[in-house]
Amino acid sequence: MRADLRIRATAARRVLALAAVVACIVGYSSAASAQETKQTKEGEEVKKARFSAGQKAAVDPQTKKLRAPTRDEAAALDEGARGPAVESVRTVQLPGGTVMAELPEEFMDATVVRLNPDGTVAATCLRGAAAAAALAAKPVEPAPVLEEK
Amino acid sequence: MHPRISSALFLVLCAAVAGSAVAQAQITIVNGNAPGVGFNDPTPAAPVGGNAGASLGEQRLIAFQHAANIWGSALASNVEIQVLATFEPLTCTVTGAVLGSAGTLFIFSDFPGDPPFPGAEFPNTWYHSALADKRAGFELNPGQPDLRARFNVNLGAPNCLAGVGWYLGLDNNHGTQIDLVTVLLHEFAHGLGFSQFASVTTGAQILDQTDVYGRRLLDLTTNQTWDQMTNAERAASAINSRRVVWTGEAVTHAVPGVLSEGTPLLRVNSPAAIAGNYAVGAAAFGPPLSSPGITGNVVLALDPADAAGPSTTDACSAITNAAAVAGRIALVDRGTCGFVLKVKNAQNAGAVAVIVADNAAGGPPGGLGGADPTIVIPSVRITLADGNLVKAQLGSGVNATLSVDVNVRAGADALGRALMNAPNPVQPGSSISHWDPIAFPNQLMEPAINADLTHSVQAPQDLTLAEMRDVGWFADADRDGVADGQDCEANSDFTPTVVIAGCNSGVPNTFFLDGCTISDLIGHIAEAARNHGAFVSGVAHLTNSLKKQGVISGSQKGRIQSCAAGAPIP
Repeated sequence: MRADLRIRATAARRVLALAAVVACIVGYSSAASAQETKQTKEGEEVKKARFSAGQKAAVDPQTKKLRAPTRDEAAALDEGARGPAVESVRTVQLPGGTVMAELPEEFMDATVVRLNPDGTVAATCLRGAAAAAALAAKPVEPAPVLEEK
Repeated sequence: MHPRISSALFLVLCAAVAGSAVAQAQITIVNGNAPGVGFNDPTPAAPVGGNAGASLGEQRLIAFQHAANIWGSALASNVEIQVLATFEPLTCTVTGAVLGSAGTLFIFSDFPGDPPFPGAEFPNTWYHSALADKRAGFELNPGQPDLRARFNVNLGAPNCLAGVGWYLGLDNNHGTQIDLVTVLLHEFAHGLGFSQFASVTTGAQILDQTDVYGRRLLDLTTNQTWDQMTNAERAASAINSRRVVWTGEAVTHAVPGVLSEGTPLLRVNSPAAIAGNYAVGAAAFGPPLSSPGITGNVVLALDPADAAGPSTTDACSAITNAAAVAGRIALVDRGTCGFVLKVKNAQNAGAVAVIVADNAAGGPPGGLGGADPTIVIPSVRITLADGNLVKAQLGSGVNATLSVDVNVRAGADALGRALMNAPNPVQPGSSISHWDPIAFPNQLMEPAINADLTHSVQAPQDLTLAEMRDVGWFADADRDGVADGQDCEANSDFTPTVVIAGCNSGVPNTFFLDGCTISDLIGHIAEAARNHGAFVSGVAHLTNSLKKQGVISGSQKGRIQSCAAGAPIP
């Protein structure tokens, strides 16, 4: 009975399926990792690694070795570093005034895990497949230390 | 047209009843893998941590559904949420890997609600697909999943973070493995409502429209929310470290019960022009900040511009204005020599504490590294920008306190609003769409997914559910579209016909826009009735009103009254 009393809305239309995008472009950074410190009331400290973006490289799909990125690959990496381009998002006007936007893969949030020199792992969330791939492929650096000067 | 009954008429009957039912949204994992791989991997697997799946693929799917169910039990929606999920090869090296990704596939604005479902709260505002469906009360994009999730099928293989694989148990006892459920809870949260869609580098928005998340982001410098800003202002706000807060009421209400007391801070007491709290980086040497801390006037420590340091404010040599520094808080600049030496020189001049102003832009301020057991005064680092602010006011006298402020929660501002992650330089992947990493205890929606997280998404462990409430996931135990706080009956009786103590009247159990059915109203009368006569009288009053408004016919009124008369109530 309840359903009979309800106003039925006009169904929205289907939209195009997502296209897969990024492959084999990676990047690495030589920038030093920073470190953040948490201090509780009791003085307990919790240290966390934080990474920053840096130099670009690509993995050759045949040899699997690092090489300089092509212009297109570098552009893709730059896009990953900038974050997703909102201007390219496709929008659709639906009946009744509703507007729908279809988000590309670059808007997905990704988790990257990296192995620390001490054997522990650090998992970090960031946005976009290109940025995630770049961080995942970044060579391991020495254990982050607090800046002394 | 939906039948309506005057709220005033039945106000006395509509006392809110606390909902005991578990809120629920059906979150369905749609297996997108081909046969034999991913979720369909037939490799036999031993039960682990409460996951009884017999194959690797089955265990993966069970873990996915477990995470989905945790969110499903915390949120309420009458529209199924579909997550198209696959396990597939993602970027891997021996030392790093993309664990997985997830997010909303679609966003919606200006959608209507199927009454009493409210639709969009704000015009020209983007909502995540699942949230929009919940508020609309119907599927806005039939046939399409709401979220997409891709997770790494090779994790733990020799060339993919060798030896560190997924923990597929459901008990969070992951040891050195990576807890799939925790990662899923985090990524699902992004897809359900914990993310914004403007570019954090340019501030540009999709269709130049804000999103419901951005409406809750307040910049403490401009005192504007993100929907009120220009693109340039948003980009500037994204790097305004420790000065972007979440203004939603649910999170602010939850903060005291979730985040620990105590944040190391520099509080400028005067002059009024710069009075307030400033973020600090703690030192690895000397005593830690304490409460109530050290209060004093701030003095710029001067030293010779010499071979040890080219600046007269770098404190790399003995302090020359020791008389002015003694008994006060010394302000020195970062650069050339180590932090330890600067603090030691200030200590030798009689300073009671040291503030090191950064010499490079950025934020939040890093810590001070080094070691020297002879240092007995506390020291901190502040940002270049904050250092310049303080320096500009030294002429009129600056009085400050360095302390762990027990009135400020770890991860909140002085007013108890949660801080957002706004590092400078910007981190496109994680800026703004996470809590500030200073939050303590660790929170699910910090940019780093920490190993000590629980599987809880709500207070007292976590703030994420409160954030969901603030973006529009209102509590709705009976999923009728009326928020529990405003619902005439939070756990409505949706029996198709009006049944009183086993007597089926056969009268359609009409649902009203204030969240009550006829059966709910009769139930409220029964709860309030002191005796059978009062109950029968109350039902008669109700049914007369319903007939008068055309909701029921005369014969239907009679059948309900007959059932009421014969019911052993109370």
